[in-house]
Amino acid sequence: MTEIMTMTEERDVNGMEKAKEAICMAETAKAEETDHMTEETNVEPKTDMTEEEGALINEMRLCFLSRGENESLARIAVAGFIACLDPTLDVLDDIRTAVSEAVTNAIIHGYQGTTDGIVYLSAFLYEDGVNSRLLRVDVEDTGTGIEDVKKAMEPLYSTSLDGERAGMGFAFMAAFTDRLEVESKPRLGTCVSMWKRLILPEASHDTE
Amino acid sequence: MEEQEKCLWVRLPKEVDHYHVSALGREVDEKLLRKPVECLVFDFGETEFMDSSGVGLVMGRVRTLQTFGGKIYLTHESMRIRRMFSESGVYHFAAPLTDTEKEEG
Repeated sequence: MTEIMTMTEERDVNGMEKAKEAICMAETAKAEETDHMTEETNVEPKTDMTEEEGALINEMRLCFLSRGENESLARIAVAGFIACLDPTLDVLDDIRTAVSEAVTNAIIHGYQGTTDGIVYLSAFLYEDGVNSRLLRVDVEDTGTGIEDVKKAMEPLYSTSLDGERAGMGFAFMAAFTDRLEVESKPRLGTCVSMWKRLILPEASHDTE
Repeated sequence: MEEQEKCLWVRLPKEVDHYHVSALGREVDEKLLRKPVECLVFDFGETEFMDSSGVGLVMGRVRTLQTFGGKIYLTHESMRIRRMFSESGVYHFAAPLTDTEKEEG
């Protein structure tokens, strides 16, 4: 558990890094879930991804109002960010779905469906192996926050009151990415980070 | 949406996300309230993208039909969407609709 720090009141795009550092109570529920599975079933963890990311190649930051139409914007933005890597349709759909889930959560839960919240979408591309790159996407809000992250990440669990939500958002995010981390503090906000390894197209493979 | 005598046929849009389908669930429920049907069909023929909102939409209607009666069918799902429904357990509650069944129905 990380130490608890206070959250800065002001936000602006430049100060985002500073504000991000101030989000507290990191919970790597995904990592715990994976360890549990390994004990029970002797299955290899879904990722052997280390904490360290390779050198940063590219970065994108986008912020937008918590309006429903921006769910599509977020998907397009991240798809555009990785377009140069010529991803397969499967990989593209995986990432678009995971981003869609995270952004939808920020809008309908983080900001409770109000449209004047700001959603912060960041994407990073890191060097990885010889033939791959590592994509990281962060979706952040300064909204309600999650009381119990572990509970929130249980499949079928939903705090939605209209009965229209499947409670599968985190389950899909986890299924379609290699690593998922959720940091949240009630009344301060939530940051969902997702990583996915992208294999480079044949022609661009680094040579020894 | 199309209403035939026994069947409400709902065509899903190109993108099935929270923004595009959050109102659709309620619309379908209202239609069913006015006129219960024997079957409700969700047609994904136009759908190129779907996230868990699609699962929520179908499962929400499963609950509705538990009150009104009737069966739910899914048709023309892409392989990817089929996999998402399958892994979410939706096919325990909603059946795939083949083209022959469609004609007979």
